Amino acid sequence: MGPDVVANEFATVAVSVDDRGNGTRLRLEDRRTGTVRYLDALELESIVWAPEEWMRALLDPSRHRWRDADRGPAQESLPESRPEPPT
Amino acid sequence: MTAVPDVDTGVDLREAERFLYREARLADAFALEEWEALWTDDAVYHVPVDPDADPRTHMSIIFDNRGRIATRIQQLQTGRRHSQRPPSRLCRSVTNVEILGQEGNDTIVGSVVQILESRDRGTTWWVGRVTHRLRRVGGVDGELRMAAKTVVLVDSDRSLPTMSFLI
Amino acid sequence: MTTDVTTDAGTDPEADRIRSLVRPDAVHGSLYTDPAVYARELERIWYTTWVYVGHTSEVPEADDYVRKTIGPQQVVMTRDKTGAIHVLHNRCSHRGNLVCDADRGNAGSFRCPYHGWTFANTGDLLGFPFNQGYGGSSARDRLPGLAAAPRVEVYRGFVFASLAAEGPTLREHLGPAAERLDRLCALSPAGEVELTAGWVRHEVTANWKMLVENETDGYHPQFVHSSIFSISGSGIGALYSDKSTAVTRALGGGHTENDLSPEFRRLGVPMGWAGTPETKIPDYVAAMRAAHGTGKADEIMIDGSPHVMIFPNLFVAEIQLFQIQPIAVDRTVQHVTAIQFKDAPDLNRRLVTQCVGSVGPAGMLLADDAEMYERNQRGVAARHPEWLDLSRGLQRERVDDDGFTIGTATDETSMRAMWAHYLELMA
Repeated sequence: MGPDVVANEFATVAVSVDDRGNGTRLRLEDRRTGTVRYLDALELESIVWAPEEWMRALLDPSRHRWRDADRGPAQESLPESRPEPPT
Repeated sequence: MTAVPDVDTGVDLREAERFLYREARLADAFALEEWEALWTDDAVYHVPVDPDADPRTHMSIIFDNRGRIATRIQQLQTGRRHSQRPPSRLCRSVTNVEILGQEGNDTIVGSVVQILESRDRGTTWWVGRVTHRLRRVGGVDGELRMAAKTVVLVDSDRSLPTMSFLI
Repeated sequence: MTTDVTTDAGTDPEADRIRSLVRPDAVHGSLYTDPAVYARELERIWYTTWVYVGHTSEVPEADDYVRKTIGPQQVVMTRDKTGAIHVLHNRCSHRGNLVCDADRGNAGSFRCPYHGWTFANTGDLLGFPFNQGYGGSSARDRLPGLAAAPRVEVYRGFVFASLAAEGPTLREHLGPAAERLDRLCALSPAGEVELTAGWVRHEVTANWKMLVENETDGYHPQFVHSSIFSISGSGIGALYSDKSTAVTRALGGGHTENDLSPEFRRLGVPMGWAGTPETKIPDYVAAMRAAHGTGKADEIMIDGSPHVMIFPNLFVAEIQLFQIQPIAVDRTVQHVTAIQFKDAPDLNRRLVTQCVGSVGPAGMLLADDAEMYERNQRGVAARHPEWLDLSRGLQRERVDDDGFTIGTATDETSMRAMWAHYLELMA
C-alpha cells in the first residue's frame, strides 16, 4: 500500500507513517521536488498546538524557500534544514 | 489462531491442566528424561526477550529446537553444568489455565507460571505467561505432548540473573 | 569514598594503598570487594577513559535514539537531524529527572515529564513552560541543556564516549585493538558490522573485573565448559588446551586477546572458526569472494573473528558482542547481542541461533561463566589467603614479532596486562 497523498492545485504531498527507524514518525514528501521531511510525535503535537500566526509565517514564500540572498541561503539548497518558528 | 478450521482435538481444560501440572512437577524435580519425553519431534522451546520479535533474527533467552532441547538435557546430565551444581531448589505454581484455541490438531493453552528458585546466591522469583501448544499423539486415546512452549517473563527485557533450570 | 584526584606520587595515600594491592604475579582480594576502590574506579576509569557506549547501527535513522549506560550512569545515544551522534546524560537539567524512558525510539527532542522542559536530541535546551518565570524565552541561552559527554568518537561504527574533556584520542586509546575491530568488520562483504539483533541482559553478583579477566582467560574453558564441549563435539576446548598454538596477547592499554587464528589457519577451512561449512552459507561466501577476491576472502574467512577484550567494557567474542556494565561493587550486567554482518543474511541467522544457545541467563556457555563469577565473588569475601594468583605462564612469557607480550593459550598474560594498565589509571 503506497502513501496517502494530500493534493490540491498548489502542492502535492505524500504522507505516510514511517517505521524504518527506532520508532514511528510521519514522513512527508513534496512530490513536486522529492524533498522529504520527517516529523516525530512531539513535533506533530507542537504543530497541532502552534498558533495560527506561526502557520501564516510558515507560508510566507520569502521566509525560507525563496528568501533573498542577504537573508541567508535559500531553503531550496538546504533540503535537510528546518523551518524556523517566527521570532 | 482462527485461520485454521477447528477440529475437535478432544482436549478439555481438565486434561490440559493435568498435563501442565505434571510438566511443572517434572521440571521442578529435574526428572530430565521424563520431561524431555513430553516434547514432540518438531518441538520449539522459546523464552523471548521481545515476544513480538522474530526469534530467527533477534536475541532470545532460550530458543531451542528439538535437537537443542536434547543438548540442554544432556548438559544437565553431565553433572558438570556448574550453574546447576547443585541443582536449584524449585517450586512452581501454574495458574490461570485457559484453552485459548486450536490450530489444526494442536490445542493452544495459556497459563501463568510463578517459580521460586533458591540457590546459594539467593532467591529469585520468576513469573511469566506461558503458552503451550499441545498435541495428541498415538491416536484418539494417545497422550498429550508439547509441540511448543513459550514463556514470556514479565521482566524478559531487563537484567536477569542466571536461569539455567528448566523453565 | 575517594574523590581525591591528586596524581603526584607520594601525596595520595589511596594511590599508594592501591599500588600495594597489585603485584606483578598477584592481586589483593579487596580490589573486588572494597566500595572505596569501586568509587575510585568510577572516577578514574569509567568516567575518564574511553568507554564503549553503542553502535551507529542501533540509531540508523535521523532522530533515532537508544538508552545506554556508562557504568551505573544512564545516557541516551542519539543521532541528530544532520546524522551526528551524541551521548547525553539522561538527566533533566532542571530537577534531575530521567528525561528518556523508552529503551529506543525516534524523536528529535525530549520533553521531561516532570515540568515540561524540552531538549533537542543534541542536548540543546529548546524551552520550558511559562517562561516568564525565568524572565522570558531568552533564559534558554543561560540555562543548561542536557549534559553531553564531552568527547564522543566513532571507530568503524563503534561509538565510544569519554566523560573527561581531555585525554588521549580514541585511536590512541584503542591502539592495536583497532585492528581487531577492522578484522571483525572485514568479515562483512560490505565491511560493516550491524548490531540489530537486540540485547539479552544478564546480571551477575560479581565485581566487573571478574568478567574482564575471564573474557581472555584461556585456562578456564576446558573446566567451566567441559559439560557442553563433551556432548556437542565442539572444537573450542581444544583451542584452549595446553597443546594449542593459539596465543594470549597483551595489546597495550589494558586491551587483551586470545588470538586463535594460528589454530584456525592450521585448520585452513573458510568459516571453520564459526563451525559452519561454506556449503551452508553459499550466498555469504560468494559475496565475500566478490567483494575481496577469492584469495583475500578465503584468508579473512579462515583467520576468523577476533576474541578481544577492549578495556574496560567491550568484549568481542567471535560471533557475539558483550558490553560490560558495573552497577555496584559486586553487581555487573552483561549486555550481549549476536554480531550481524552487513549484507550477510544467511550467515547472520546462523549467528543469532549459535549466540542464543551460548549466552545469557540460560546460555549453555555463559550461565556457567556467570556461576564462576558469582562463586568467585563469594570466595574473595573470605579473608585468606588474601591474594589471587596471576603467575601462570609468567616464566614463559615472551615478546612477539610485533612487540606484544604473549603467552600460551592458557597463560594469564592478559590478566597481568590488564592489572598493569589498571594501576596506571588508579594509582
